[in-house]
Amino acid sequence: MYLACSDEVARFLAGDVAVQLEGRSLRVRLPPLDVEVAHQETFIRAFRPEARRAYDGLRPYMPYLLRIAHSTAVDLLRSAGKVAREAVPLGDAPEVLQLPTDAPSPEGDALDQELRQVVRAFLDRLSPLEQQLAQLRFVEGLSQEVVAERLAFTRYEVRVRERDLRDALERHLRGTGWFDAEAPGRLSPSR
Amino acid sequence: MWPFSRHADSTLSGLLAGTLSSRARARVLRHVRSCGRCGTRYEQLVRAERLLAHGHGQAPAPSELTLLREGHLAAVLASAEGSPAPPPARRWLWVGGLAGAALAAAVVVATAPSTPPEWSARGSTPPGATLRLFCLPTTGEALELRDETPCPRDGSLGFAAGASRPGTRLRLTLVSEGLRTEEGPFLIEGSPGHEGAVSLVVPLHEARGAQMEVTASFAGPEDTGSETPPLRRTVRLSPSH
Repeated sequence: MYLACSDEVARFLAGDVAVQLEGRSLRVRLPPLDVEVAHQETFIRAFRPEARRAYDGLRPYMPYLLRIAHSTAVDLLRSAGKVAREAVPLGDAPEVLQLPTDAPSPEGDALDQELRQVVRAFLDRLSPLEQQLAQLRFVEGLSQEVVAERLAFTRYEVRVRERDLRDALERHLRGTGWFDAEAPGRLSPSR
Repeated sequence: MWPFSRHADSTLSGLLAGTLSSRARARVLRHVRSCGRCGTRYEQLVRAERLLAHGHGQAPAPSELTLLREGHLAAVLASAEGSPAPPPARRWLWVGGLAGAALAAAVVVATAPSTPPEWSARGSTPPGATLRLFCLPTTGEALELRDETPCPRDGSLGFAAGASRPGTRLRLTLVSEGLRTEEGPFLIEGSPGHEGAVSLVVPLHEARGAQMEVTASFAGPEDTGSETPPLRRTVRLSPSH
């Protein structure tokens, strides 16, 4: 069950979280590190004996799980002071779960705009083979084994080239000053 | 942990590439969460990979999905078995009758021997330090607070803590609507799995709102700061009995 639902929960948490405050609905995005925490906490909550007992086995499981994910995300936002304590999750409203959560919102798009240009510049610098590798591994998410087969490499070669590619991306981000910029929307204290 | 640098620069790409062992992955993630510099770098790398994958930053990249799926499996399985923390109260040591008869207060230490699990829910038992919360109702037995268990407003909170480093000190910050108090430092006398009572009982009658946030900070004996990240718990408050 965990393996079947993990990716869907991660996609849900990486999208905007809807909360209601004084009659207004807000959408707040969790930074990646908080997505990581909320993902684990969601399943821990969902698999606790009391939560398992609370699930009747008749309703579809995924909406039930996403409500827990939503509530976990809001708890995290509240404890970080990102939303007011009075804010309530909109997860109890069925329509919230139907909102697209992985489509770019205008706010998120603005935040990503500058980094998108940096990434595009990085891609433009790559050789055709490196671009192909980036497409297969980063975009399509294929396993190293499948990528090795497609590119007629050994798996070891794919691993080494991928590592080089990631290192190059890291150097590129550092060179463009991105590592010196504070990640937008960071919730957690730095120390 | 980092022989030449206290930062995790050399392992961040390995983290996202999924090439680290589960133990190393947990260690790096723990560092990344507690270090502002590395946390920012990690997040920027994740965002860059998201943009590479989708052209926008609101959906996890395949590498991130794999990291989440594989990185949390053991912790989730442990929690499903109901064993992230040692079971409460085999034997109770009564530490103090602190505030008179109204609190027949009674804290706290579960001395059940147990080995702390390698994997545990982040925020509940960080490696190196543990904190357990107990509800001390005006009548009846003390109850360990886990998850969503509420504590009645006319009760009190008790604490037990353990740290793997001798001499570690604990500071507690308690925040609820209209109330903020800082307590400590307290010398921690127990270790993870063998927590010792903290000499503090906090009456809840002054707290308003539906919950109280408890933040525990751990400082090493040299008071040079701690590698253990602060630990946060939320205590739900229910109406008085």
